[in-house]
Amino acid sequence: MAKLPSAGNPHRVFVAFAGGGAKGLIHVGALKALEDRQVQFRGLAGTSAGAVVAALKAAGFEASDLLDPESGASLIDRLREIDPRIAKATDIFGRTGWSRILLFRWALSHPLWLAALVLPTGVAVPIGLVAAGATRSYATLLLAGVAVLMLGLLIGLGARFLIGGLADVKRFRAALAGLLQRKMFPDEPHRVVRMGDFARDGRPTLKIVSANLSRRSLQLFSPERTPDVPVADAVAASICLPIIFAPWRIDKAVFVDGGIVSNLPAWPFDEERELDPGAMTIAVGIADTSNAPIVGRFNWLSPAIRTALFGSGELNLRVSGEAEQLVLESSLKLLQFDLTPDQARQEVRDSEAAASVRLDKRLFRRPELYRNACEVTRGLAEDVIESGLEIDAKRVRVAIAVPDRNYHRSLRLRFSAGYENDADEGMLVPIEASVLGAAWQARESRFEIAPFPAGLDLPGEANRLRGKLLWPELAWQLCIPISDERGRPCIAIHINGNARLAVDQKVEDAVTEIESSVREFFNLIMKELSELEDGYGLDEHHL
Amino acid sequence: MAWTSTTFKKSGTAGRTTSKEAISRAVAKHRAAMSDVIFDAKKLADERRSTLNTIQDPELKRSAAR
Repeated sequence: MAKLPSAGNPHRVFVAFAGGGAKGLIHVGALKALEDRQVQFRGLAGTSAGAVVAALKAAGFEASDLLDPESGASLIDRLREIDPRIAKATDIFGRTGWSRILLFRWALSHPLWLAALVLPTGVAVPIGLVAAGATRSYATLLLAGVAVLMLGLLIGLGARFLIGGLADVKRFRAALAGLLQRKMFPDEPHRVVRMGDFARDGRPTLKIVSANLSRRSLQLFSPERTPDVPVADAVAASICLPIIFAPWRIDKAVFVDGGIVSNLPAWPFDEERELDPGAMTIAVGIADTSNAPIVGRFNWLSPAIRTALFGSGELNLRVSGEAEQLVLESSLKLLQFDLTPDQARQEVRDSEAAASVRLDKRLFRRPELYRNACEVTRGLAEDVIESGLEIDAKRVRVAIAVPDRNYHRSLRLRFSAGYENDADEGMLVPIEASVLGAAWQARESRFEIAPFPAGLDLPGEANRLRGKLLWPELAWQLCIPISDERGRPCIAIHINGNARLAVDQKVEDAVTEIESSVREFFNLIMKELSELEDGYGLDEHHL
Repeated sequence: MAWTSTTFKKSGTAGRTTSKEAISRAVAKHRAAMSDVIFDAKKLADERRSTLNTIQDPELKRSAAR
């Protein structure tokens, strides 16, 4: 778990945006919510629609440049300055591309109608040929010939566009290249913006995922791996959704949409995260569980494409380890690029609000509140020890422990105060081998002084390395499980210190007072935040 | 007593002592700070509720409220 910086220091973040076609509009709202929290973008990654947002943000554009819900100004206005043919979002698909996509969209949602149109032709042609042979009538022969031509044309065109793509990305690629150049190198009109222009000169790093058909593998475009590739080409390669777009070529290699290999690329930041463990990695995902049709024999193609794009979110996050996932769902459809301006503005407003709620819950306001609660508790415990026991409290530390998502045998010291540079900050504590775990299991507060009870002092080979992380000065610990209304523990407060405490009445009184005050304090906090917390532990541990 | 221990043997003695009064005074010093945190928690929950109510897209609203 990344340690969040204290107030005043900007949060350093790596952000990955998922692909999602028209649903990618919600990235604009998510980006605005992040900007409003004054994060410092250290790296951006994306696939497909997410690659467009990542590249533009890395180049220096703000969310309001992409679509400002208040003024209505949008990316389309900027693209139009470069290519006047782009007057609305659907114009990026080329001259007739959007019409073909509309037809395809209709066919996907009306498979029976499509069959009703095609099958009669398929039946009429053989019957006409048979009839022509039987009657030897020139008129019937002509009719049969026309029918054959029409059927051939229909099959040929269908195959051409389904295999070769209903639209191409040339127009969008060229406009994007111009836009990036004007933003990053306004004084160099012929400059091509390349991947190597990022992660230097104060710009964040940029990583774009595509599927390399020539190598039959995932392609990661990054400043280190592909410094000479133009960013517009990398984005074009990432957004070429099969059938919708013709595959994109870079040199001799052929690329299609990165969504078929990794739709939510948080993993490219693994090295950066290890080098800067204090930075957060946020994966902005798009869920697609809405309007799920009943899949039958003839309507599986659309669900298959959507499953390929959105179905691997959990795997992507497993690869990336500790990335925080912000998953939003939208009522928009994958190919709904023909939104009215008002609809688009409302969708951005909504996604900003939704992202704000989730970010504040998981990464910003609520964690800050818990850290404040730890700090207040730390001050209280210190004062009680010094005033009541008349000794030097030395150091007192406080942490809130919760189970990680899908973890059942351990607790994570998630939020804390007073840990300074101690190695056990954020430590995973095994329930079976710790005082904290014993209190959690018994649902009863527990106070222990060193030497701690055998079996609860991280014994055994499995805890050898963990034991080395433990604060060597740890002299006492008070663990207070806080339960929900149903009596299930949801968090545990771990208060500990390095002052040597005597076994006497004064210490007993002090511990009793600290325990009851802290329990009441956190019970009230949990009551207020009950709507933000989930049934299992503090939350579901993902955004 | 609301807590247990293996390494600390409780006396079980009740009654008012000088140290108890000092302890109570120490706790009282932090009541205001505790109230502030609880107030912030209430504010966060209230603002979250009102933000959720502004969302018109039902799917976004559902995913935000999760």
